[in-house]
Amino acid sequence: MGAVSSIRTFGLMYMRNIRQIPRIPVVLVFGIVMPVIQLSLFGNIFSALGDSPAFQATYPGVAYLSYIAPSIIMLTTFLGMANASAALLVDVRTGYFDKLRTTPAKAGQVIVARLLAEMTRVTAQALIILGLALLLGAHVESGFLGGVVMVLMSVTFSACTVGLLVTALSMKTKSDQATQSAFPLFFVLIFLSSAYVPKEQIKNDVIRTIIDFNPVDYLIQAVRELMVGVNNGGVMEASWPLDKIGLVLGASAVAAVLFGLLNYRVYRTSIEGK
Amino acid sequence: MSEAVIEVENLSKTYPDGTSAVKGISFTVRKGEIFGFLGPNGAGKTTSMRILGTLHHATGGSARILGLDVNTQGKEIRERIGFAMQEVGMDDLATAQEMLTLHAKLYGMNSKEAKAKAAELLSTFDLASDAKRRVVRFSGGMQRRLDLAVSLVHTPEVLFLDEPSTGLDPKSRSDLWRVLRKLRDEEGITILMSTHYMDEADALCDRIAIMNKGVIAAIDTPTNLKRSIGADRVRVTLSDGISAKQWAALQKTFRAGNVSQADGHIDIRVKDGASALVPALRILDDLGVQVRETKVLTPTLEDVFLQYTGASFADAEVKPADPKEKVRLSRKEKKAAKEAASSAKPSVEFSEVVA
Repeated sequence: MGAVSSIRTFGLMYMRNIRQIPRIPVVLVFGIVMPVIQLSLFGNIFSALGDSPAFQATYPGVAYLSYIAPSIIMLTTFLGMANASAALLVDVRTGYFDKLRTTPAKAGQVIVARLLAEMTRVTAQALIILGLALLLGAHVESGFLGGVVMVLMSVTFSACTVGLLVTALSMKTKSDQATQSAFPLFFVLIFLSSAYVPKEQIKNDVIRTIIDFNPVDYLIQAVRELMVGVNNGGVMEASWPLDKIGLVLGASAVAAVLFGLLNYRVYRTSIEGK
Repeated sequence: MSEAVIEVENLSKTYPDGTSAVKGISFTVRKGEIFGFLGPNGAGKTTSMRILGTLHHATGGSARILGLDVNTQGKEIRERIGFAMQEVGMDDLATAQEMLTLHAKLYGMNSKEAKAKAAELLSTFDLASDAKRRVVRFSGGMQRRLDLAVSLVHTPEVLFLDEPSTGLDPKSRSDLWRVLRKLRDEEGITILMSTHYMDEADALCDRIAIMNKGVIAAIDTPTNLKRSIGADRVRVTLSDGISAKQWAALQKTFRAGNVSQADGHIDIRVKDGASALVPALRILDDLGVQVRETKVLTPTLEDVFLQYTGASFADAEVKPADPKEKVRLSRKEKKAAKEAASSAKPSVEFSEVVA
């Protein structure tokens, strides 16, 4: 009975959240405008970068659009998860979150159901961006399955890091502005990586060192390898970098535990007042 | 005597920042009672209710709801109580019907039962024509009604209402009182409510706990509380004035300490104003005192509050800190500030309902 009713409660909350996603159109649109602009502009404006000898030496025959498409999918999932707490915050501020706390539903179920619904939304947004990239001429070397894995990996990593951090931040501050002020931090991590330019072509040693220590770059490497493959003697070949994928999923799991505990602590002090 | 539904023993709550909001309160509420916390903002009413509604943990003492321990059996308690908080808990993105059906399902009903329950409550609370509208567009009064309806989807045995009439116009307020009395009389529901309106406590509650600064100063029925602080007074306004001879005679009849005069009227302290009025007038008439107007004054809960706490109701309000002075307000301080802001407006418009 306990487990069944728990899953039922969880399902009820998840479905309620899914139903409400289209009712905050700003979150849906905001999460997709920037990636669409980048995809359609950068792919053209900087396409010459892809034609340079240095680039072609590392990625023979790869179009610049294909190179940045994985980065833009990641940007989409980062942006999307940065808004993961917007709806939760509405509930906290209207007092509805407290109302739910007076029912048999557990706060943990409410929060996790919210996060999973947001992951569903972000997955849809990332798939739209991937579809658009393909329409514009990008190519996924590892095929359809590779494309899906790219998106799911990116969503999982973003949810476990950005998603959980903004959730803790918004429960702590109960403020949209405070939560949004953390956004630039997440994007610096994307820009200080090989997302838009191969590391080999960056001349500045300091930035190259930062890239080596930037966890986000490891995710980008894994996702990009699925997209463009690996250079095997001057020819790009499809690749499934299981070690890199495993690293990303492992890091996601560690982040989920750490930030999950953080959320629990924030919840106890800020919401329960212990 | 009917069974005890809420048993509170020396309950206290100290927040991590050291604020002591509740300092050891004890009381018992019996089945079918409407029990009210009456006190100014910051008295500890909301904290007490949130502890009893299992939303906060107590730091001392014990409390049982329906025989269940609030600190360890929260889930079991939540299945059997309803809680309408001071801030209405509206799901701004949902319609009224969606809110009611979701909550009905959270308490275990299937879709069909949940829909039926929602329809029933929507009509009870006069919201049927707004069932499919988003609640964010509802008026304050409609949101209060929906909030109460949501709290009742599972037919709770105990209902917690924290300042239920805040922000309601006089008509909505008397409608609410009617609904609450009906719940008690027809469903035998036990209600624990808080209010800072004297008239509401007086009109609605079977018993009142007067709260101030985290402690309960007195508990009794409104009538007994008022009676406990003293007698009624018959106030007679004079047409002409009173001669020394007449005054001496009055003092002799009623005993010196029981009569006083000021501003052209005489106050006579009596045990029961209503029955003493006519005999008193007869005595005045016999003495030849010309009377223009008479009035019977009974003590109000305001007098009771003054008597038991030594402070007038307005003076006892906890003044929230100026947000400019202290940028980071704690949750509790914010709440106090909000309470003060919301209490600043109504009270006047409501007084006419009771008159």
